[in-house]
Order: sequence, then C-alpha cells, then structure tokens
Amino acid sequence: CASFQEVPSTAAPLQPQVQDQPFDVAGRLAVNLDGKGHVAGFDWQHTVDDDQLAIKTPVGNTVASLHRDSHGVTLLADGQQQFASDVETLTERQLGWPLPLANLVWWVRGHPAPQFPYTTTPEGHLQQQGWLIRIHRDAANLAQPRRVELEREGLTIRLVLSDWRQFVPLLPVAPALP
Amino acid sequence: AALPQFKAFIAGTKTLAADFTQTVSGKQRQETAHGTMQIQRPGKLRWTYAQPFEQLIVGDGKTLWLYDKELAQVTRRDQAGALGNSPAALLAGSNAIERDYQLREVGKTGKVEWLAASPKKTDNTFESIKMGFTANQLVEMELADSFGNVTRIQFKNLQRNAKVNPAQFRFTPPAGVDVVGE
Repeated sequence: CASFQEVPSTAAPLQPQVQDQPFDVAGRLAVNLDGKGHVAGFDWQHTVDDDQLAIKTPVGNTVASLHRDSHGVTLLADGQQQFASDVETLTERQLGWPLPLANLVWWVRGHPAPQFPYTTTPEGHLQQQGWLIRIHRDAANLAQPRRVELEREGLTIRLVLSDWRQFVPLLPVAPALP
Repeated sequence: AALPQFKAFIAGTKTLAADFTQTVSGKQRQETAHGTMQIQRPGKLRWTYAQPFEQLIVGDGKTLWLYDKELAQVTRRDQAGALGNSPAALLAGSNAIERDYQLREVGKTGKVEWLAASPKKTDNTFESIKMGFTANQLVEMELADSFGNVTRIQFKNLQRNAKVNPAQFRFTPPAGVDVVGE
C-alpha cells in the first residue's frame, strides 16, 4: 500500500511529492573551493533513513567514512570520530566546504529536493537552496544521471556517478489527502 | 627470502615500467582497475589508470599531479607530503625506504616471497603494506586500510632500467580543466 508522505504544512508542495527509494552508487568527486580542493573516489549507500558514504583514494583505500541516520551524522577519519547534527555543518567544519547531502540525495537522481522550492535556468538547469545544479545523462542510459555538477559562489562540486549498483525510479505518490 | 630480493630490486632499479591490475576488496564488493606505471628513482613517477576510468598521477620530483579526465580537474600537491605511503612512494621514493619503514619478512605463498613495510611514523592511510618478490622482481603489492579494504596490485610486463622518455615525468594541465591546490 502506498504510504502517504506527511506534507509539511509550511511549504506549499510545488511539485508532486515523491516516494524516496534506496540506492547504491560508486563514482568519483572533485571539489574546488576558490582554487583549493581534492579529487576522490566514493561509495554511497542510501536508504530512506540512513546514508553511508566512503571517501577513497585512487588506490582504493578509504580515508573517510560518513554515516547519517535519524540521530545525526558521524564522520570517521584519521582515526577520529566527529559528530554533528547534519552533514553540511560537519563537512564545513571538518573539510572546509559544505556537502549538501540531504539535497544531493535527490539531485544525483536527477530530481529536485521535494521539500524545497526550485527554479530552472533558461538552459534547463536546476536552481535550489542557493545551488546551481547541472545534471548530465548519457544517451545510452537516460534513467540514471552520469554526472552532476553543483555550483555555489566560489565552490564547485562535481560528481561522476560511474556505477549505479542499485537505482529505483522515483515515482510520485498520490498527494496527501487533507 | 624477500629482504635480499627487495634490496637487490631497489639497488638495481633506476627505472621501471609495468602494466598493473588493481583489485580492491571491501566488505561487500570488489573493484578492479587496470593501468600502467613508470618510475625513475629517485622521486619520479607516472601512474596511469586506463580502466574503468581515466586518471593520471604524475610525480615530477617536486609536485604530485592528479588529473581526472571525466571530472575535468587537476589537483597539485607538494610531492614530498602527498606521497604518503601510496605504492608510488615506496617504489619511486628516495633510497630512504629503510629509514621511513620497518621491513620484515612475512613468508612465502607459492613462488612469491613477501615483505611487510610498516611506516615508522604513524600514517593512517594504510594499516599495512606488503610487497611480493619473485627472482628479484617486484610482482605484487598488498595494501590494507583501517576500514577493512584490501588493495592488491599485480604487476605484469615489467621492464627494468629501460630508457624512459623524461617527458613522461612532466605534467602540463590541459586547457579547460580546473587546477586546484591543497
């Protein structure tokens, strides 16, 4: 049976509510913050209430592991454990740049974050939460985005989503009846 | 035994070229990559990933460059700090390997004699690094991190002390890519 998603009373739903789905994807990411940054590999497993993200070097060893659940977010790196309420605060504090994971969860699937308003540029790119989001798909596989580029003044985050191991299409649910 | 083979390998290797297969085994999955590598001791290296993605790592002796083609980004790092104990550092590093690493024999499997190299100053990139030798030739490396992943690198078509074009160890960022520092 389709479970009805609680529509937050404040934000008028600008788009059909979408049922979240688990995914499992591997790829690489590049961060450029005013000319400083990194390139790394990643493995990312997402479920409705849990995210597990491993950041890896080209040689395949994990240098940082990030885990989000209902209690908050834990980052394990350099043998130490850091905790914060959300990923943006934690990554800003530990890495110097905010990873908007809660929104990225939708953007990497080519979908605006359902709980926030958004606009699109003339070229059809998404603007949401202060970010410009460019989503690139390979002709051979239109369902699963291949590259996602996020831009916010001074900060560019590029992701190549090279291996969608699990991808469930996002289908709108029936709107919540009052 | 592995130690004399390692010493003979390091002492007798000015340049080395090889193809490699890298297999990373994590908790649930395994990822394989292929590429080529060239080194010129001391300090020069070119580590190219061809499959499943294109990534180039060049150490020119001063700067370590990493270029990811699809991400269209180059990172540049001071080579001394950046090598950490990635395989390139051990192979291309200056002859101070004994100074920076504790070396001990860890036995033989099949024809491969294994040497463990543990960094003297703690570095959490790798928990353990092993090098495998057959007939004074490096054939395999095994690197374990602290998250339970093991990376195995197998070398093939090794050419030792062949002439290597010095341009291989220089890198100029292509037009149109972002170049980021530390």
